[in-house]
Amino acid sequence: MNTILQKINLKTFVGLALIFLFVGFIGIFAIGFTTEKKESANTAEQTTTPSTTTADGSTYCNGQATCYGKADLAAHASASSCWGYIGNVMYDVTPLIKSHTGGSAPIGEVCGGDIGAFLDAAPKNNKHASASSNTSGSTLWGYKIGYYDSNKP
Amino acid sequence: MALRMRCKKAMLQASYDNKNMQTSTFWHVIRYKIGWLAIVFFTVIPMAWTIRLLLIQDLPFERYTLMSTFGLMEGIAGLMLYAISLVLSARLKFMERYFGGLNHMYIAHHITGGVALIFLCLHPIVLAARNIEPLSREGFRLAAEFLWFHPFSFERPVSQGMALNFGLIALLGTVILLILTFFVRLRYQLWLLTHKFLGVAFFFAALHVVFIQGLVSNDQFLRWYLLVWCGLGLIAFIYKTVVGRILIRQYTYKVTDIKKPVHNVISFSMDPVGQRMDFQPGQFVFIRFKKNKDSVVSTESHPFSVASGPDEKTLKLSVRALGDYTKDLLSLKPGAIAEIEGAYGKFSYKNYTNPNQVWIAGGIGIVPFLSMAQSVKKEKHLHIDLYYCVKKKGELIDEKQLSSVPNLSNIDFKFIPYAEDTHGFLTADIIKQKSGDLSEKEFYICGPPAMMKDLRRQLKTQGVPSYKIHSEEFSMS
Repeated sequence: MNTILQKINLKTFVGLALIFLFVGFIGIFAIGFTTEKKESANTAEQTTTPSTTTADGSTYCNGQATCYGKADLAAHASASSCWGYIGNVMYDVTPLIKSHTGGSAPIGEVCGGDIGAFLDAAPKNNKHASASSNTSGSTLWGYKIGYYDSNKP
Repeated sequence: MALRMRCKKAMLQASYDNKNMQTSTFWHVIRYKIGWLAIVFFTVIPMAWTIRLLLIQDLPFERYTLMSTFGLMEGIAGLMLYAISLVLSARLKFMERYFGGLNHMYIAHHITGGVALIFLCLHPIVLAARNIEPLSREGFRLAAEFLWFHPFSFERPVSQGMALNFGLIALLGTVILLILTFFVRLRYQLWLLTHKFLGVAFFFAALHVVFIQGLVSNDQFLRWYLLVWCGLGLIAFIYKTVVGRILIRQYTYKVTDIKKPVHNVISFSMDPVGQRMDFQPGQFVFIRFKKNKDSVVSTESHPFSVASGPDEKTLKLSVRALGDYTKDLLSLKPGAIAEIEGAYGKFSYKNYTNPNQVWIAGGIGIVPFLSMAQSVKKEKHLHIDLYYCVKKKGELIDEKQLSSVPNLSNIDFKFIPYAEDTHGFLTADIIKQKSGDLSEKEFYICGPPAMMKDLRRQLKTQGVPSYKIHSEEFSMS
C-alpha cells in the first residue's frame, strides 16, 4: 500500500484531471453536437446581446446591464427553455420547471411570464415553493440571468 | 552550600536553556506551517460561504442544485489556488518566514498550481453535466453548447456568452501551459517563457469572474472576495514579470576568478561593483549574467547557493554542469558582469538553536555547507558532524578548507568525507555509529533529491522528528 501511495503524486492527479477534462469535452461534444435541436419558434436561441439602450435611444431597466424585454420573454416561453421574471429580475428557471411536480399554474402560463405566481402556487411539499415571489433576486441564485423591463419591446 | 546553590542555579539555567531551545525549534516548525495554513484558510472561506448560501436559501437538494454548487466550488477553489500560486511565485521575501524559505515557497507554488488545475478541469465539466439527464440526449446538446465558444461580441455590457468565452480561454491556456510544465521537458529558458503566459491566462479567468452572472455576481461578499484575490494574483504577476527588474534590488558583481576544481564543476569568485550583498551562511541567490560576447551564457536568472562566508567581500559560487545553462557557465571569463538578487532561503544553522548538528552533503550539495563552515569559525558551543558524500574521492571540492575548520575554530567540528564507491551509500545507521544518538540532533541535508528523500525517511525511522530535519530542495539547473 505504501509503495502505491508513494507512486501516486501530484503529477498523477493532474494527469487524471486532464484525462477527465478531455474525455468529458469529447464525450459531451460527440453526443451533444450530433443531437438535433428541437426547433420551435419559442425556443429560438437569442443571438443578440441584451442591451439597455434600444436603437431609438430609449433606456430600460434603469440603465442596468443585461436588460431583457418582452421579445426575449416570448422567445423562452416553453418548458425546454423557460424564462420568467420576478419584479425587475429575469430568471432562467428551466431546471426548476423540469423537476416541477405539479401546481395550480400550468407550465405554459408560467414560462415567459411572472414566475412569482408559479412559485406561490406550487404545493407546499414541493421544496421549490420555498422561493417565494417576494424574495430577493439572490434567492433564486444561479438562475438569475439579468434584468427585465416590461416597457422594453 | 554555596557550591550546591551554584550547581542548582546551573541546572535550572540548563533546564531553562533546554526548554527554550525546544520551544524555539517547535515555534520554527509552527511558523513554517503558517504559510500552508493560510493557503487552506483563504481557499476554504469562499467555499464555505457558497455552502452557507445554499443552506440559508433552502434550495432543493436535487441533482441540478448540487452539481451547480459543486461545480461552482471547484471553480472558486481553482481560482483561489491559481491566484495564490501567482502570489507565491513573486519571490516576496517577507513570506519566506512562513514557509521555511523561498525554495519551500516554490514547492507550495508548484503544488497549488497543480491542484488549481485539477479543480479547474472539473469546474466546466460538472457545470455542463448538470444539464444531462438519464436516457436523454437533449441535455448533452445543452452541455455541448455550454462548453463551446459563444458568438464573440465586444459590445457593452459584456454578454454572458463572452463571460463564458473568457473562462474557456483561461482554461485552454492554463491546460496547455501546465501540460508543458508537468509532462513536457522543455529547455529551461523556453519553459520559463511559456510559464509567464500563465499570468495572461489568469487575466482571462479574472474577466470570467468579473462578468459571469449567477451566485458570484449576486453575493457581494463572494464577488469582492474573489475580485480582491484576482487583483492580488494579477499584481503579483505584473510585479514579477514586468516591473520586477526595476523594483527588486539587484547587486552588481564582477567575475574576478574562475576555477574548475573537479570535472564538470566551476567555481567563480566575484567582487561587488558598488554595494555588497548581505546574506546568511547557507542562503542562495538568483544570478543573471549580462550579455557578453566572450561567453555563451544566456541572460536568464538562475538560483545558486553561495559558497563563501557572509563576512567575505568576495562572493564565491560553485556550480556543477548538470543542465544546459550550467554547462554554458563553463565558457565564463573573468570580467563578466552579473546582476545578483537575494539572498533567499532559511537553510542555515543560524535559524535553529540546537548546538548538536549533523550536516549531510551530497555532491555539489556541499556548497551551502562551505558557506556555513566559514561562518561557524566564530561560533562557540557547537558540535557539528559534516558528512560529505561523493561517488569517488576525486570529486571532493574544497576538502582542505573543510579539513582546516577544526583547527581554526573553537567548536567541535568533525569533517567526514564519504566516498560511495568504497563505502556504499550513506545510511542513518552509519550516521548513528559515527555520531551517536540521533534523536537530539538537528539535521541539515543538501544533495540529490533521491538522497535527501531516502535519508529523511531513514532518520525518521531512527526516531528523529521531522521538524529537526532541514533540507534544501532546489533542482533547477
